[in-house]
This record gives sequence, C-alpha cells and structure tokens, in this order.
Amino acid sequence: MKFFCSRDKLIKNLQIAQRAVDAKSQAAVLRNVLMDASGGKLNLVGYDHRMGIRTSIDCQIDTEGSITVPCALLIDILGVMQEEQVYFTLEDSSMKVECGRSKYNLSCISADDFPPFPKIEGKDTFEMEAGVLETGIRQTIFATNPDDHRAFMGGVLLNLEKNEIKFVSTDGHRLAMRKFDVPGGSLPTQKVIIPTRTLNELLRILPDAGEEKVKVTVDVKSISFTLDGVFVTSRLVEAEYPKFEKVIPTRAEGQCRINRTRMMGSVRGASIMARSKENRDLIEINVTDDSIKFTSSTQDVGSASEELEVVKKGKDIRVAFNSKYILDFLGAVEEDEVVFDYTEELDPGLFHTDMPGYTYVLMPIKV
Amino acid sequence: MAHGAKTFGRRAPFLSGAPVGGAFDYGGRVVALIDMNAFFAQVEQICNPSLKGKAVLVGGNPKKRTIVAAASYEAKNKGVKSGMSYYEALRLCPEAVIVEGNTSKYLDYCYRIVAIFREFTDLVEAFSIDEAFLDLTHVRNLFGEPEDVCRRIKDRLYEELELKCSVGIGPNKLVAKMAADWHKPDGLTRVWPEELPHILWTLPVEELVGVGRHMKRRLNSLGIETIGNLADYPQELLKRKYGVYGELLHQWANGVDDSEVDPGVFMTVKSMGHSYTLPYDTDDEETARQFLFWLSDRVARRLRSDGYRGRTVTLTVRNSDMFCFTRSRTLPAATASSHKIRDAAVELFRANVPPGVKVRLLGVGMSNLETATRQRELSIDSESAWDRVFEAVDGVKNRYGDSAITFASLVDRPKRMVQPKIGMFLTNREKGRPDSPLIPFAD
Repeated sequence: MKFFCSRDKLIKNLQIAQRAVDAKSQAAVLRNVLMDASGGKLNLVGYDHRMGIRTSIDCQIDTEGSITVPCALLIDILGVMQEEQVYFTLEDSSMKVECGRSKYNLSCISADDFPPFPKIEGKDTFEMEAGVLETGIRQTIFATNPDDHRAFMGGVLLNLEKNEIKFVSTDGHRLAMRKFDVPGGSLPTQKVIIPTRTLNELLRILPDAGEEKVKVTVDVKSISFTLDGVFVTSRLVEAEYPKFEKVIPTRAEGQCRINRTRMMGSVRGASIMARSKENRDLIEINVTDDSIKFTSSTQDVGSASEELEVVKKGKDIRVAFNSKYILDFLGAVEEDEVVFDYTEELDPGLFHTDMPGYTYVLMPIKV
Repeated sequence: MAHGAKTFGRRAPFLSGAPVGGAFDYGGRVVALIDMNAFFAQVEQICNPSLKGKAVLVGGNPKKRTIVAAASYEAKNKGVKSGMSYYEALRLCPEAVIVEGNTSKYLDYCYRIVAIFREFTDLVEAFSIDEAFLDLTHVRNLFGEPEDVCRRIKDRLYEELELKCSVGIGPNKLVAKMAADWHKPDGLTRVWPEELPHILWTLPVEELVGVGRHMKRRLNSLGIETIGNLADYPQELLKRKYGVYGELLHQWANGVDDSEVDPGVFMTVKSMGHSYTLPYDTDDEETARQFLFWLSDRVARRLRSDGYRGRTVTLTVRNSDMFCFTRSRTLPAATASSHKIRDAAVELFRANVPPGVKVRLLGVGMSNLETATRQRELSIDSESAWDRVFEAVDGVKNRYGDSAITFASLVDRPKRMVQPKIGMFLTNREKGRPDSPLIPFAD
C-alpha cells in the first residue's frame, strides 16, 4: 500500500471520521481509523458499532491496499507537518508517513480486524434537502434526554408520511416538534428514532452541505445518510415512540405575543437570580393586561423582575417555568415575534411563532 | 416525688471542693436532653384512655414470642423492665395489659414532639424515637433561662399531647443525658458544671453512658468501680487498652463531651421502609405478593408525601425459623410509584425465597433517595400517566384518609392487613380492628 494526498484535506476528513472513532474502546482496532486506498480514492472509516462514518478524498495511488491506523495519533502527526503533500507507505504492519523532511512510523492493525458496517436490509431510500434535515435536527435535538432510562427519549423521532416530515423530541418535561410539508412528495411511511449522538455529528457535517440533497436510507435497525461524499450510518434507538400528539394542547384560554429578542434578554436576566438548590432556573411569569413580568428570587441572594409589553388575548396567568427550557425555544426559532398560549398554571404551555411548523410544549413547575 | 433512688437538689449549693474553670469550663454551652418517659406506653394510654393508670406493656404480637418494648410506670414500679419477655413481665405484674406496638403511631407523635421543640430552637437532634437533644445556648436571649424554656416545653407537651417527659440540662450532651435519668418520670434536672465531680464521680462506673455489661467487667478488673476512679485513671493506659474508645470514656468520666447537637441527623432522610409481621406464616406466593404490594404502597406514599424518590429497593424477609435476610436492587431511575417498588420487591422475593419456605415477616424499604422535583411531567407515556394517578390518589387520601382509595387488588386484602391510622382520634376505628382483642375499651 503506497499513496500520497493533500495534507489539509486529509486532516479535515480524518476529523470527520474521528467522530465515530471510540478513543476509549477496549478493542484497539476500534480506536483506529480504517484507511482504504483504491480506485483513485482514499476512504477513511470510523466505526464503533453504534455509529459509522465513511468519508473519501482524492489521492494518487501507487499500490492499492487497506490498513487501520491510530486515528488521534495520525491527526497529531499531520498537524505538526509543514508541507502540502503527505506520502504513505505500508511496510509490514508499520505505516511510514512522510512529509517534506519529516518521517514518522506508526504501528498499525490489519484491516481484516476492522468490523464491517452492518448490512442494510429491507430499506427505504429517499432524498431530503440538507437544509430541512439541519433545521429539523437543530430545532428538536435539545429536548432529548439520552440519560433517561426511557430509551425513546434518547433520540429524535423522524416521522415520515407521504408528503410530510416530522421531527419530534421530548425529555418528559417538554416536547419539540418541527413539521415540513413536502408538496407532491412520495415519502415512505416510516417512524424511526435517531440517537442524539448521531444527530449531533450530523449537525457538524451538515452546514458544509449547502443546498445539496441528502440521501437517506432507513432500515429496520439502522439509518444512513449520504451527503457531500460523507456516509453516516447509525443504529436506531430500539423503542416505540409514544403517541406524542396527545400532549400538544389543542385549546388555550389566553395568548400573548412577545418580541423574541427582548424576551430572551428578560428571561436571561430573571434567571440570574434563580439560584436556589431545589428550584434552580425557576422563573415566574405573570401575564396581565398589556404586560408580561418575569420574576425570580432566592433567599439570601436576592430577586429579579423584568417586564415587557405584550399583546394579550384572553385571561391573565401566573405560571412558573424552567428558564433554560424557555431559552432553548427562543434560541431555536428565528422569527421576531413569539407566541405563548396558556390555559391554567399547571397545564402545559404552548410556544410557537407565526411561521407554521414549529411547536414547543412546555410543562410548568408547581410552586 | 422522684422514683429513682438518686436524688439531689435541683440546684445543689456550690461545692467548695469542685474545680472551677479548667476541666469544667464549658464555654457557656447549655444542652438539654428531653426523654419521653415510657414513650410507647404513654402514647397507648393517650390513644386509649381506658388504659390510663393501668400497667401497660407494649411490644410485638403477644401470641408470638416477643419482648416488652416499653412498660408504663405502673408496670415499671412492679419491677418490669424493657427487654423482658411477656412471660417474665406478667409474672411480676399479672394485671398488666398487653398492647401490640404500632411504630407509625409513635413516629407520628415523635414528629409532633419535634415540631414543638423546633418552635424554641432549630438545633434539635433526634437521639432516638423518644429522646432529643436541644442546644439552648443561644435561646437564652429569646426565651429566657434554660430551665424556664424546658418548663415551657414540658407544659406544651402536656397540654397539647398529654405527654410527660424527663428533662436533663447540662453543659454538654453527655451530662444532659445523664441528668435526664436522675428524675424519672416527669423530672427536670439541671447539672451545673461545678456540680459534676460531686454528682458524677461517686456513681458506679456502669452508670456512665457507653459503659455496658462487658465494659463494666473489664473496668472493674482494673480496679475502676466508680466514675471517679475512671476519671482519675491515666488516659494513656486506657487508650492503650481500649483504643480511641478508652480515650473517649476517660473524657466522658471527666464530664467532657465536645460533640455538637446535630440537627442534620433529623433533617436528612436516608431511607424509608415498612415491615410487617404477617398474621400467619405463609408459603403462598400470592399472599406474600399482596403484602409486598401493600407495604410498597405505604413506602411509596411516604416518599411522595415527603417529596422524595428512591432508587434502591430493599426486601427484608424473615422466615418461620426466624432466619432473616435482606436483598436489594437498584432501579434504572428513581421512583415513588407503588407498583414499581412492588415489582422490584416481588422480583427480589421470587429470586431469593424458594417455594415452600414459610414467611413470617416482610419488609420493603427504599434508599438512595433524591428530592423529587416540582417540574411537572408531560403525560407522554405510561410512567408519567402513573405519576398523575398517584397525585390524584394522594389528593384523595389527604382529604379523606388513607383508606378512602386504594388499588383494586388490595381491596380484597388478607384480614388484619389494615392498621389503624396514626393518632388519638382513631380510637373508635381501632375498636373494629380484628387483631386487638387484648385491649379493653372503655366506651
């Protein structure tokens, strides 16, 4: 095995593949990245049995072959090198890395020991805009809770119907849902839960994908995404997603419209004084005729009160929420104005904007 | 007035021989120990007025071989002591009435008592179910002299709960504890630092807190007969012989005790549990399961009402041979749901109790507790739906009593599973208890 390629491109792609490399794995081969030089391409693969990433770059191949090398070590070496081209030569089980006058030798493990990606069976394949995938993930991922013992909370539900895509997440305290219409679409009917970790890695890769289409393949136990030369495969969360529609309030007894950036400032401000051990981040919201007040207090620390003008319909309300959860919502939308629908102080609050498609249900705190 | 043999003036005159300052300078600390006299027996007499003035023995089920946990003073005067078997006790006091103990009733009283203490100071350390230390050092500025404060506490306990207690006041916990023992029942004793040598040192060494039967024998073999002998004994030698404990004993004999009154002991709950001796030994799994459900429900209800969730479920089983063991399991997440605790308890039972073994006592406990948040849950899955159910159930129980609502599978519970609810208002309901034939009711 002998080839050379661009050092910059190699580093960038190694860093992508590295996200699926388990640096703490007991098995040495899983701490490595698989390098496979064939057909004018260098494929880089990281895989930890739960998630796999394959990315490829152009290279000049002298002799084809494949081998696994310690991923973090290789990135460190490439980082200190100066020249643009880097040359690789495999001798027995040692990889010689040369760049200008730098020469390094890395002990390697045979590619035969590297686990193959699981076979995809009974698949449904379709295309999705990279922007849709990115927005859908970004607006829901924060409401998952991978630490909960209820497995379905450890990922985002991707709910596909003929011409509708829904991203749904919940951690038991709130539920975020983003809906996209796909006019004239012919999507397969699918309901799968994608692990939070996979989506986090996808989010890092997606901004580079621009306007491109992402090819999605759904299988019984796994899902894979192909975009811009990167292939990501992941096991699905094996759980049934509960009927989430029933927790979305269908009626409200009051509604107020608030400027988003101002509300963000007020909520942040009020949350500064919410420091007590048992009620961390608890802020009270008090909606009266034309104003909304955010207050908090902590014994021996102090109190805060922030007031904003609102356009209100219906009844007044006094309700307490975790300020972090409100800020998550305010950070996830981009519109200037947000809408807060409410019923009673112990009933779920519904946050949304005038742009249809995004719904955020938040449970209050009992005070 | 005093029942004990040892009596001395409430304020003994200053003794010229006693050292002032030095070893007996306590920096003005004042600690009181309040000991509820014959607590369980007193509570039983309050809850069932027909028992007043009678010799009462409180203990386990009288049909089983159990011992006297507490005896009323009427019985104590005839020589009955805690720890005797019923047989022994009845031989000394044949007219005594036996009452089966009810821990939750005593605990409830304990909470009410501590609530009164807390009105005077937050430095309350529950030493046991019927004794508590109060640090009165700084209370003087608010409520006056320690004796007056304690007298007020005594009055409140008697007026509000009809309870009598003995109070010991001293410069530290050790002396307060010993002082409380001097005038029983219903006494109030203050020991001044300078009185210590005179009072303490003439007493036999076994009167010192921490000196039991075995320690007494050992100390006697060293020629130590009185607390005074112990106080004079070289500390180094005691340390070499008995380690840290020897050193502590020497300090105690000299009336020195630096330990703080620790309210944390009462404030932090580490575990909660209920156990129950079955009315009959059984090897029927379904019966055991039902008792476990009932116990789990009680534990869960307590967790919920005190705002906790627990992660570790502990099962206690005693079989008919009196062999006792406990097994624990840690759940994936903290819970306060009755059925989840039951499921874990039943699983532990199935895994650890072979078929055919006759079970005598069952207990369910929860530890690894965490404070439940007040963040409301979305009712998205069955777990959060159950939380709502329990919230509603607790609401009904708080309003209409514990027996107002229960699981359908517990409606047809085995006989004698229902225990009367805590407190004195339930005397009439108690009458209907199938397992209380030994209590003669006046009305």
